[in-house]
Amino acid sequence: MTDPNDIRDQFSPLLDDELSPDTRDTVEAELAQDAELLRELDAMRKVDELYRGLPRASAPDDMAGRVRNQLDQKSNVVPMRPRRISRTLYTSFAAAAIFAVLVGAVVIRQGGIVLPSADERIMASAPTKMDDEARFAESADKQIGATDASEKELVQTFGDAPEEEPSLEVDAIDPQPGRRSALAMDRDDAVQSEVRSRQESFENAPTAQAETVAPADGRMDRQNKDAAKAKPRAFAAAAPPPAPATTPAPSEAPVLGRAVGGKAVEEGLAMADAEFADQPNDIKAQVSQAKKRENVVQRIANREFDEREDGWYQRGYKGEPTQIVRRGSEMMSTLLAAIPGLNEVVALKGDVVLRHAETWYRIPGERKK
Amino acid sequence: MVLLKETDLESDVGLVEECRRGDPRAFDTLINRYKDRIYNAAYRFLGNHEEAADLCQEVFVRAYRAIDGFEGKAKVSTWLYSITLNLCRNRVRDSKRKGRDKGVSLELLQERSPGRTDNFAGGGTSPSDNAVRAELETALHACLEALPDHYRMTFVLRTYEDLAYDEIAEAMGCPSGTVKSRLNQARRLLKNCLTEHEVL
Repeated sequence: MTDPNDIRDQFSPLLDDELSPDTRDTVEAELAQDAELLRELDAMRKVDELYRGLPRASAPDDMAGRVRNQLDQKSNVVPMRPRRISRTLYTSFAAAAIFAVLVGAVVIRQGGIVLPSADERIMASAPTKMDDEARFAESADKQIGATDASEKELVQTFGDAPEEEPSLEVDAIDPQPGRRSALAMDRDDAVQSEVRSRQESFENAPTAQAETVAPADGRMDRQNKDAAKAKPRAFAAAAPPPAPATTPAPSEAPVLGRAVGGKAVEEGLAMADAEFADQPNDIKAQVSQAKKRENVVQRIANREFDEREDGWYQRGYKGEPTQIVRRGSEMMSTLLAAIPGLNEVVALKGDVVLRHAETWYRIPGERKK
Repeated sequence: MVLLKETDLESDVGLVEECRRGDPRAFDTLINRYKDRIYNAAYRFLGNHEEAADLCQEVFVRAYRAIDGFEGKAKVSTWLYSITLNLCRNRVRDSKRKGRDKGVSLELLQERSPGRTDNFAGGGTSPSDNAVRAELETALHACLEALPDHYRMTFVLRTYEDLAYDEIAEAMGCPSGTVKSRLNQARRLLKNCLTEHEVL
């Protein structure tokens, strides 16, 4: 141990009497030969003595009483200091909240809670556009109501009033607010079709009145046939006052037809087009897709069911609250007994929403893929 | 037999057992036995009587609450010192965080609690002696407070409380070799500091 630094490292244990006898002898032998190291050791000893010479501080006499008081207070009083929430805890809370939201979403999807239909969601994504379309549809409806009489007269004028034909019950097919815009477009298309049809019939044949509305003539498909009833409503607002009740002469028919299906209809269509031209193409496309999806209809147990994204809805359902009926439940048995043919309905994939005794029921089914 | 039992009761372990059984007098005895040592260590470390008193009180409160967890592997004194060191560390850390100056001059100490340093500063026979001693104590305090915390803690426990290296190591939660090197370094730094203050 000839390195002075090694000797210096042993100063404290030497002063504190923490060295083994052998090490102590070695250090003392080195110190005896090195005056510089010895002076350093003496200085260090002096430091120790100075600090040990400081008076000891004494605790207050009533320390035990103070401790007891504090213990009593702490046992009786809830600490007022707010607990600090660590960042980890915040993160945990956030993760738990996200998890809860996800679980809630899954439960809602699987538990049969009524969710907005696809069309509603589509329209909800563009509320202002939807409002515009709704206004348009309302306007068309008002026009329909205002001109029902003239429509009847028009049909009578042409000599064909297919009263028993199922009408295009616009509201019954899709009463939901978001769907009305689709119907407005439907009307628009049908109006155009009807106008074209009538113009052609008026222009191409003197006996156009039979061709125009005859359902069996093969010139109009089902949609157009329905439209034949509904289309005039869309443009009827622009139509002139009702025609005379008397049946016009055959030569007048084309004139009247031109008056209604020609100029007036064009004006009505122009208004409709102008009102709807503002709608973006994506909305039109979405509505068009939604319209296509609606076309699938099942007739079971004297009821009509429209296919929607998540199941089958009995016609007339307008988003009313539904009562969930689980398959195999008592309620399900009751419904099966009360509604003949219900078995066929519940065999459909997806949820089934139907009405019985003034109540709407939802029978959750296998998810549609 | 009776004497042996009384001795057991008077031992630290016996007092701890009595405390666990709910005897408040046993804990009072423990407090009175260790309060000055704890207080002195806290004062030397913090350099402030008021803070030392508060901290000493907190040490015993913590000890009382944790007494059921005391396993008896270490001495009661070592256990109390370890609590003291932890609280001292926390207090110094909080003071630094709040930007407080933890150093308190001897003069300020005398103003705050006159009489507490009389034994030292007032121990001289004449006013000039007292002034010299006060100046010396100020220098000693200043140099001690200039030490890094872990050096100061080690030095205080060894110099003022006469704890063995193993006990210091246990109280501080470090190896004995670390205690040795820290003490060596602390003394060297103090020697240099006191030389600068022309004390040595």
